Amino acid sequence: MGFFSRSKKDPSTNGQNPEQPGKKAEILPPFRATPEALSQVLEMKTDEVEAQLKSVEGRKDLFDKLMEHEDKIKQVHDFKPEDLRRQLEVTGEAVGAKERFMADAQSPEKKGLFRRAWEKVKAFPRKHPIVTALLVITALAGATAAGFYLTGNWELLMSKAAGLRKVLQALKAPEELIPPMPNTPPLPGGGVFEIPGGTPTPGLDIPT
Amino acid sequence: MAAPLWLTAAERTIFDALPAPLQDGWELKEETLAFTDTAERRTARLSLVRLHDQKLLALRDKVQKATSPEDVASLLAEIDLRDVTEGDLAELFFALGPDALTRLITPLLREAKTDGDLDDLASLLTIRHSLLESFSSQA
Repeated sequence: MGFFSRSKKDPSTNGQNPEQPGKKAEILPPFRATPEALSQVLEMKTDEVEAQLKSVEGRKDLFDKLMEHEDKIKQVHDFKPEDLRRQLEVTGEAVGAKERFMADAQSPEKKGLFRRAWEKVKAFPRKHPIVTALLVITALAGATAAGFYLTGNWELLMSKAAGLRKVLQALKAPEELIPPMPNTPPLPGGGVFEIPGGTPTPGLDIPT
Repeated sequence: MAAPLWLTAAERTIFDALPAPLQDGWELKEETLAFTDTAERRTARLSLVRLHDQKLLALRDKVQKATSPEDVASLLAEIDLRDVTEGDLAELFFALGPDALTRLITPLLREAKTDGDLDDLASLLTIRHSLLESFSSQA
């Protein structure tokens, strides 16, 4: 189970495996329809997945393909087909929004405005450590070991960092802004088409 | 020329309460776009982040090796964004999202004391406005 995965207990079993009393039931990480997860399950390039996510037809196609692998996905994930369409829609919305945002920031009309904004932001660390810390934490959000402060130790961390305690006042609960990322275990037996699955990289697709 | 201040109605109220000399000279625009964030939406945005900056990647590695919140706090205190590319900054702001920016903007606006403070805010407001437009547009 991935470091970022949230524990989920089935109240009817009280955490016990009904088939093997005394032994705790295995808790599977939830399946999230991220481009990386879809890419692993469907053995498609991430770019191709993102392109498909942008259209209604593309999402329908992805849904159908994923459902063909429902049993395998369920072996390693808490997979809820009833949530899948909405997840694909939400991810597709984000893909489109990101494309528009990046294009807007580089558009000839706004390039100057954004250049000025970026220059300001680069000078933020001294003046606005909270904004800077949040940006960096966003960058780290997918890193497995970062979970210790993204999930449970915010208050302790903030108490040790001058000025950062304000984050709590400003944001109430930072984990609301930076959610734990679920792990994406490879499917059993390698890839779906019997090609060995790659090492899962939870969260951000940061080149290493 | 300073960027306009894209303020929501609530933020406009805070701006109007600032000292009059500080309010002078700013172009105000009403931010009418809205975006309601959810855990699912944040997860989706985070899953799309592609970073290339070596410093950020190195910092990530250091944080992974850190064993205590104190270590992480000292790493955060050493952050230097000067060499981070504009593309990577855009990636991070997209992942953070307009809702989180709003939560940062409100206290910064309330505490603004100089034109420099408002100029910093103008940058965040420009970024937020573009993010809101991006989420409001239909593909």
